[in-house]
Amino acid sequence: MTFSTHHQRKTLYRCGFVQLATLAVVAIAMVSQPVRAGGGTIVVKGVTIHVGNGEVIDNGVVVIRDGRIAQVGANLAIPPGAKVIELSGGSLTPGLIDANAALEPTNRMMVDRRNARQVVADLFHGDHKDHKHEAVGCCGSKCSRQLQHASGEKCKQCGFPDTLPMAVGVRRSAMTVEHSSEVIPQTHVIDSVNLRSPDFDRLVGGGVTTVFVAPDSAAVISSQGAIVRTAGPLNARIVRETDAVMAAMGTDPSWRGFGNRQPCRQFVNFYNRRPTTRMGVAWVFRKAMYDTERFEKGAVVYGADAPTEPAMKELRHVLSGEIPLRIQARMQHDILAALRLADEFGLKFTLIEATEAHRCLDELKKAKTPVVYGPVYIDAPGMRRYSSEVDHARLHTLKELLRAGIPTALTANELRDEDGLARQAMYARRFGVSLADVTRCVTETPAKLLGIADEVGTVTSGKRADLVLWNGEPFDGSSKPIVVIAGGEIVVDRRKG
Amino acid sequence: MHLLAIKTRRFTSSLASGLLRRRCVSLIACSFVALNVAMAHGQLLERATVITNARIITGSGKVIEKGSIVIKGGRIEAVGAAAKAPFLSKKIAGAGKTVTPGLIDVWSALGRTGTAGDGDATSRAQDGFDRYARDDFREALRNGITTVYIGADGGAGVNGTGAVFQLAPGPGRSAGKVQKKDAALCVNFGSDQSPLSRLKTFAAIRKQFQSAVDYRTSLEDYEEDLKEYLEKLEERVKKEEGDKKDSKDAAKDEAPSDDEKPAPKPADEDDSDDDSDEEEKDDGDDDHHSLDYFFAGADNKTLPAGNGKGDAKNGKNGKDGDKKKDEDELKKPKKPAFSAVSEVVLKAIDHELPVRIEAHRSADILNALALADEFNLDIVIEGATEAYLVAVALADAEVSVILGQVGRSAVFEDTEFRRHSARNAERLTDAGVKWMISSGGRDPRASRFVGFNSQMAMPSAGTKSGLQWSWLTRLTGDASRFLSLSQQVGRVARGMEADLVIWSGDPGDPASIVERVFVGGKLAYIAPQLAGGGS
Amino acid sequence: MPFLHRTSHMLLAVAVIAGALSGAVLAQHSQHAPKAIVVDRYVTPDGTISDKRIITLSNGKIAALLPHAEIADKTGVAYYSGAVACPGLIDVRSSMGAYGNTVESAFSVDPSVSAIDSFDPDHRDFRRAVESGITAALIAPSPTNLVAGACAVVKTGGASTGRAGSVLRDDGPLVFGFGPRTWRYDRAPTSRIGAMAMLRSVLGEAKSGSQHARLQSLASGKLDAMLYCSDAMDVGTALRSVGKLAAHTSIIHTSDVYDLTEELAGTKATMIVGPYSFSMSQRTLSMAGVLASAGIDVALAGQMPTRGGHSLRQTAALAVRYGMDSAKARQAITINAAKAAGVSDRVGAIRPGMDADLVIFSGDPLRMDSRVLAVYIDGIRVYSADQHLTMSAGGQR
Repeated sequence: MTFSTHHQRKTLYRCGFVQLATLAVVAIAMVSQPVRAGGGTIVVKGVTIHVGNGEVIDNGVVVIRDGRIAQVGANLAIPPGAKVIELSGGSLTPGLIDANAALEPTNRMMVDRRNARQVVADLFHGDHKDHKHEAVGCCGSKCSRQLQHASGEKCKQCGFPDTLPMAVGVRRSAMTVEHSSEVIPQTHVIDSVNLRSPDFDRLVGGGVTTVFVAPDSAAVISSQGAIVRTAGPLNARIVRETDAVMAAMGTDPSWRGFGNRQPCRQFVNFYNRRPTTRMGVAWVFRKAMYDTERFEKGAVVYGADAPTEPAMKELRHVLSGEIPLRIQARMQHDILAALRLADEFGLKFTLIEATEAHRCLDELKKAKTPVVYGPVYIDAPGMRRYSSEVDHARLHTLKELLRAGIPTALTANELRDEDGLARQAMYARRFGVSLADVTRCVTETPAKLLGIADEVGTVTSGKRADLVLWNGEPFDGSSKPIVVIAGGEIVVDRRKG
Repeated sequence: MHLLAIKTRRFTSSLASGLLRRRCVSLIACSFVALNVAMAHGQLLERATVITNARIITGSGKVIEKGSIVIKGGRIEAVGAAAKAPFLSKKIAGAGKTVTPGLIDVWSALGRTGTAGDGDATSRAQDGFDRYARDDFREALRNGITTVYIGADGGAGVNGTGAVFQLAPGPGRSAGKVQKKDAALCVNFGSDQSPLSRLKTFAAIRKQFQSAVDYRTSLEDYEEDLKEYLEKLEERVKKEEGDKKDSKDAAKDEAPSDDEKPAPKPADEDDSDDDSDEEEKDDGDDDHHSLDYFFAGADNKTLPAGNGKGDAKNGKNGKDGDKKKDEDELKKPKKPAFSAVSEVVLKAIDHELPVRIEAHRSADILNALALADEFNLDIVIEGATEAYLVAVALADAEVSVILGQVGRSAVFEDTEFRRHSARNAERLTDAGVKWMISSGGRDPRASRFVGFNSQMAMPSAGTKSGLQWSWLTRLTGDASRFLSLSQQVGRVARGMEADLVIWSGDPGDPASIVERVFVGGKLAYIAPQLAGGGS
Repeated sequence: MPFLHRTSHMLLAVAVIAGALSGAVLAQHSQHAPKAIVVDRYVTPDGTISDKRIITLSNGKIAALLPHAEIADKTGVAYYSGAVACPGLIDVRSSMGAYGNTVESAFSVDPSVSAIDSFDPDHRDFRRAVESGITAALIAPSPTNLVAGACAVVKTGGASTGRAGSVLRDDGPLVFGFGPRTWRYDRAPTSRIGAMAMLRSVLGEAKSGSQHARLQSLASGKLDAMLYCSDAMDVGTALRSVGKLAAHTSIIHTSDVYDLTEELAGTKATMIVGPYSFSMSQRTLSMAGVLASAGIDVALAGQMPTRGGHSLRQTAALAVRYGMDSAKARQAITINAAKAAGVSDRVGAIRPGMDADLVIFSGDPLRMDSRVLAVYIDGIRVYSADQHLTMSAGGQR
């Protein structure tokens, strides 16, 4: 629409044409860029390459062809016709890999934390302070009524319950965790991953090119995670639809699950109980594995909290080691419980979060359990804080884990942007981890843990060209990702401002 | 001015030498040339726009099958088959197109920001109009809407005055020109209320009108008292002047004036006998009154000294009594406190403002008619969902209604719309009730589809010959007359503001698109298809 | 509803007066069930409006379409001058005549439920539907379950006045619910991942033959599916899971599937869009047009009785105003809707052999000022806006 007179409009048109022309040029450039990148060659030169495995190549050159890394080395000859990216004083790392990323809950959480109490109070009164939540009822007509908290209907005015903070608003997790059972390995987190989510843009903006999408920890044995690329064409983003099954120890499945399970709690008896304590959590885990073993042998499985048949079909593969297992445990006794349970059923697992890992290094080392450590919070928000599970966090835990020789990846979980994975690496640097080690923690190690090390994780010829170009030393407080290349295409470019 | 200046100069020059005179003539010539050039320039800047060979639906029921429209200076300069394009005008080929006046939504919520909440009669719709609701405006223009009436929204009660906006391009990215402010006084009889609160609502609204009437009475009384007071004052001054001429004991009289302050009571009693209304007020406001008295006394002090002698009729009283009486008579009457609300309501009572009453249920409509009858108001019923049930009463009272959305389910609606009938309009027509159609004044986005709504209101009209365009006429010519804007918008006629919509085909066919919209002669909308190719 | 009563009285009165005038049982019969209908124009199966036709009827079916000419025997011919004959409109997203609650929430997988069981043929919805030109409706069980049950397709009128007519299908498409409305706090699934896991296992069982017969015939490609989706993500998953198995897939989603246009165009799925209201955004209103121009079959829905009888045509008019091709819009409320309901062999088009379900409009059905003049179902006139009817007793117009 043009709100203008003819004459003005004419000039506007002229301006419009000029703008259009410029836009067209830019658009053509933008369109042709990936084409050239895909078909042609991109060369990054004059940078310090942190390969990811500890090696450093000064004044390195990376040749990218057909979405892959063709050549890596110092002072390589630059192929003619290549698009050259040069950044003096810059450095290059592999695209970062977050081995335990929680998708999309956080932005809102950060915003809503302030109102957390109010929102929780609203939960029980059904109304917002200034309006009744209004949703489209099942009949499709407009009706004002108290929202059923987990029915997933959103209030048209405030978006409730979407606006619930994940930290305390346990019901928010109704969207991503299935509450009908404590043992839900048959569910796939990928089903709730919205590839169009702007969350991925934020991740890639922080240099993260591959993530393991973590299942919610509100179930004892939760869903299967997924490995997803954060950039590139939508239909090529999923690396692995299902990956590891995630279990959780501690208060997340008991305390956090607490509010989600009201209907079941109405009929609490000896057989129909939910974990309300650490002991209960361990019990549910143990019963699930035990029942699965018996189910395998053809025995009848009984008890109100016995796992469902589809769940046991999946757990079978967990027991046999076909599906990797991850256990989230923060406090020392939870970590030890996890180790005990794993030992009991002969399970191999990856320890997630491991806030107090520094207090059980020997046990971890002995069990050869890899760790996905983090995130480190200066001031832990939400559930972590309310459960007091991170009260004994140490900033040098990562250093100690590495010193003990335990393969450790670093994760930022739900933190994004300035608080993201690069910041986690920065903390690690600050508390004694060498640059080579910390680079490995966010590139090669997670790649290995996820079993995608032959594709990504290091700057090696033949691997997928997921690269991050930093304007200084990587993970330094003053540097940031300037160019992010994913699959040989420039997806983030901050060279001009 | 210019000529006058020249004339004076000429005059002076004639007084001066002949040489100078000659120069002056050349000066005149030069200035005339300059003037002409300037005018020519103006004309160049003000290029006319001409829509040629289009079918024109004039908005008053007439159709010109092939005609041109000349737009200049924001107005329609000529219409018809014979209309000629001025020199250097910008032409828009109208062959195969249909031109209509911009549609008018007589009860809209376009650009209204939120709900006004509990306003009173002094709230004004134009204050809540969002001139930057660009997307909504664009959508409205895209469907041919150029003028909207926005009511003062609020809950049950007297909510303020509505205004008429023209969706003319404004400064920056804004739009919307106030075509008419204080277009109507908006009253809402409430929706979704219990029967009891309905009664209360009605009582409260009635009270506002009653207090406005009372306010006027007290004002009139005051005027009268003031007049009397001034007269007496004048009299006294005259008398005093006469006394001064005698000037015997002027100084003597001045002295006791200090003692004149006390004893307001008798005066009050005397006054209150005349007007029981005032008595009530005074009683409620005793402190104030005594204070007033104090000030009145102080005022008196500054007046010329009191006269020694009382009026003739008080002559039999003693001198003291005389003094007191004079004092009372000269007390300046108290002006009733200014009531902004009543001032607005009074305008409605004086027929300066039409009153729009939103009432849906039959009982509410009857109440509205009763209110109109009591206070002699010019009312229009907005909404009027159940008007068909009380059509006879509406026809008898000659009250017209503004209908909202025709398409409602009536099944899952709230109380107000439960007895909604899609045939409301039809039945009102049969009963002889005049009705207008609108978007319903609630939904900002519904305004754009007021055309569809009008078509739906009387679907049978289209089949009757000659009534093919009645849906359109209702939204253009009829609507502008309804808003008392018939000399500004709503018709394609000479001298009207150039609010024109160029449709690709029959405006009643949903497949027709709006190609261009002119508002106040300015191009306010151009279809993306056309804009892309340049025009 | 006072006006309904009045209408019924009017209808009755018309019938009585007509009967008295004609005086012959035969003539009265012909008035209600003419052997031919003469209109100015009619809506063709491809959605366009063509010239003057005579539609001859026999045994409740359309017998032939003849170009306009003098009819030799003028008895029992209904003339509608200036009118447009349109196939009876079909609402594919309706809960018309649903008696009581259609939400059976005990189990989220409940394929045995049939919408036909909760349907009240005497419900006033049907009369209202007929008055709006809707002659058939797909009645679905509420999609608040993962597998919600089977739809029914019914005619809204028939031989007896004010009553729903014949049942076209009682084993209509199987309804699947996707998105938040299927998640409940008091039974599984409570979440998207839970729902999808459940769906995978249900479909797996169906394929291996250990599920309800309806699910098994769906899995073997013998049954249609009606997929209710809340957002674009649901549409994607629905298409890739159930959509791959069912004989014909209809996806109900209104607001935003621009991203999936390409993928949808690659399938034979019908997109059911609507109802559209005056309050919707430009983006939503444009969607039907965008989908249709991408070559996707689009059916428009009116959602009676949640929305009024006007809703279906209003949806079509809004879709057209926002870019949908007129012919495609006419198809979307007739033949495409019939396809989605799986009854396109019987209704949805004016073609010889089809049921004589016709609506006589005063103009283009897409125009909001067109009025329903008469409605025929199975060749029987079930509604008439009486004053417009010029019935021929002896061939006079």
